[in-house]
Amino acid sequence: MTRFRVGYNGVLIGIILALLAWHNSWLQMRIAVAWFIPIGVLGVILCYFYYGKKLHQNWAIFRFPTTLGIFVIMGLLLLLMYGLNGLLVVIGAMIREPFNQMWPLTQTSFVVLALLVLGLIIEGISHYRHPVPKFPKNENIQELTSQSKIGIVLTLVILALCVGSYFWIAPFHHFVDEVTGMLARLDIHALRDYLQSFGFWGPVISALIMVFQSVLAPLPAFLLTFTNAYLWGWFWGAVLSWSSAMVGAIVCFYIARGLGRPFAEKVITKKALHKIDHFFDEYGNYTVMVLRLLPFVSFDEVSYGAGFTSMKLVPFLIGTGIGQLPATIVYSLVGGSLNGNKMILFLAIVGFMILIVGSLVARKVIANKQRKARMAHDELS
Amino acid sequence: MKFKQVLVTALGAGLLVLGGTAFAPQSVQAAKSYGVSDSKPIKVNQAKHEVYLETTINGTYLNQPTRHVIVNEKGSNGTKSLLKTKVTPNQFYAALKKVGAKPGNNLTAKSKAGTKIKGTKLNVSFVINNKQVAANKAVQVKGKAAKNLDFRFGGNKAHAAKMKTGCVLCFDSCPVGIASGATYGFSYGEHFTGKASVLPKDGQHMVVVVKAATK
Repeated sequence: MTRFRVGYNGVLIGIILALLAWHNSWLQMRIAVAWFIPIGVLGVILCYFYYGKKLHQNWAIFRFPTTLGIFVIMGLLLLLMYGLNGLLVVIGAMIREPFNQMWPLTQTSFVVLALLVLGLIIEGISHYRHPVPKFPKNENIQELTSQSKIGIVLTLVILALCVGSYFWIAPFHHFVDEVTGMLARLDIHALRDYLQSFGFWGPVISALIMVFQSVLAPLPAFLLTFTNAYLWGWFWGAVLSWSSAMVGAIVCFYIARGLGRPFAEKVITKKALHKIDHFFDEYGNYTVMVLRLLPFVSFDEVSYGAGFTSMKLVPFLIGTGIGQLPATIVYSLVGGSLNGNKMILFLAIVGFMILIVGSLVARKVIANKQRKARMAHDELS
Repeated sequence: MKFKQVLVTALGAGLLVLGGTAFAPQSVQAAKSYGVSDSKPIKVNQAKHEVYLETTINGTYLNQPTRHVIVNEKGSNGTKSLLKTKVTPNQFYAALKKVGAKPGNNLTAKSKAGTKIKGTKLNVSFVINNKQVAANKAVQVKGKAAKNLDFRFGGNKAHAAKMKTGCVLCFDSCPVGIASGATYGFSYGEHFTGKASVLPKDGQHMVVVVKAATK
């Protein structure tokens, strides 16, 4: 029954992903979105084995309440997006497309929906008769940070899929090339036009680019923060940049955690890791927040670094959220002033100066503190 | 074990229903009177400067937006168009040349967004209930009635062969489609939906008449 439970959740999540992807007509016109279904199945199986069986996380064992929640919430969301008639057409079209068949749209949709409901009923009965027990809490987080073979393999497989997609899927290849080129050239106008071309989906694409640049450390994020503010105003631009940077930080955190320290050392160098270790020793739980406040410390290095310490996700997120706020606001004010708003420009200049002076003072304070700590250590020895 | 049996039975029943409905009969409209059929999906009438194409309605785009009017069913965009056809872009190109149309060949993938396709003007109509209905009467643009799509013989023979999309006719100006609409410029996007109240239902055949406005 476990195989059925995991497989059913994979298909359900895959269908939901495919239907969400269909709503983006740019994507729908370029690929058969039904391919999201096997990707969903694969993703759920990997999550089950790694996060469920290995790390004992309850969300990843896909108990019936989780499945029912996904079914109901996502079903309502999709109904709101497409309407009943649209949803019936899209489900049928999505299923028949990869087979290049002309199966009747509505009937095909009804068959798919009937099978999904039947699967849910079977899961419900099974849960009633033989409930899947939850894992107890208080798992030792240290286990997450140790070098795990499964973690390395899974993370490498996901990364390899991303790299392989770059070579095999032409639209993904063009997307990566175009975005990398614009960020590397610091071409704010090209980036603005590019995001605008997606219309309603512009903020989602912006968030994807932010995550992408987070994973690839050398690409600059501030350009995207400028552009978001330029396009959607400083406030909403800041909200978008801040929240997508949070997602990017989570991705880096989990990549590092999945790979373990030896791998991470190769990615961000031993020197950078020692620097981060030193901060962690000195500031404990405040480390991430302090590092985020300092513009001269790489955002991505901190995310990767935190991933292989004993830090839990929630303190990491709180530190990142508070720490990146000042810089995000200042950069957004600069971006918002690019369309000619003088008041915002004034605020941006003031904010920028405060940020620079503040970071220099912070740097000085930290350097003094480190020197004193070294001297105390020398005296003791 | 019982659950496995239930699951297998359910899957089998689903496939049976799907398979049964797949062979539902689909109507054939006016194909014979225009001299086109499944085995001969394109015909040229040089005297009238007309090309006839046999197509099949893809009901998906009576509800969802697309930018493709007619695409060859084996092309990479074969499932993305309002009408599917067995006619290849090459056959359509040759047919238009035969009726005296001249290709514009003015668009490339690097052309500026908004550039309009050139070439001989083409009047495109759909044969519905044995009557010819202008293409723009059967389509909505962003949910509103379309005016004049102003189809042109864009050409793009080499690019079409290279891209293998199967694009025969596009709603907006296109560097790949053999013919496309000049009213909406290059990169206009996917904003065209077929009118379910005018066009035949999903899976039904329909003849498309393309008349070259040669002088």
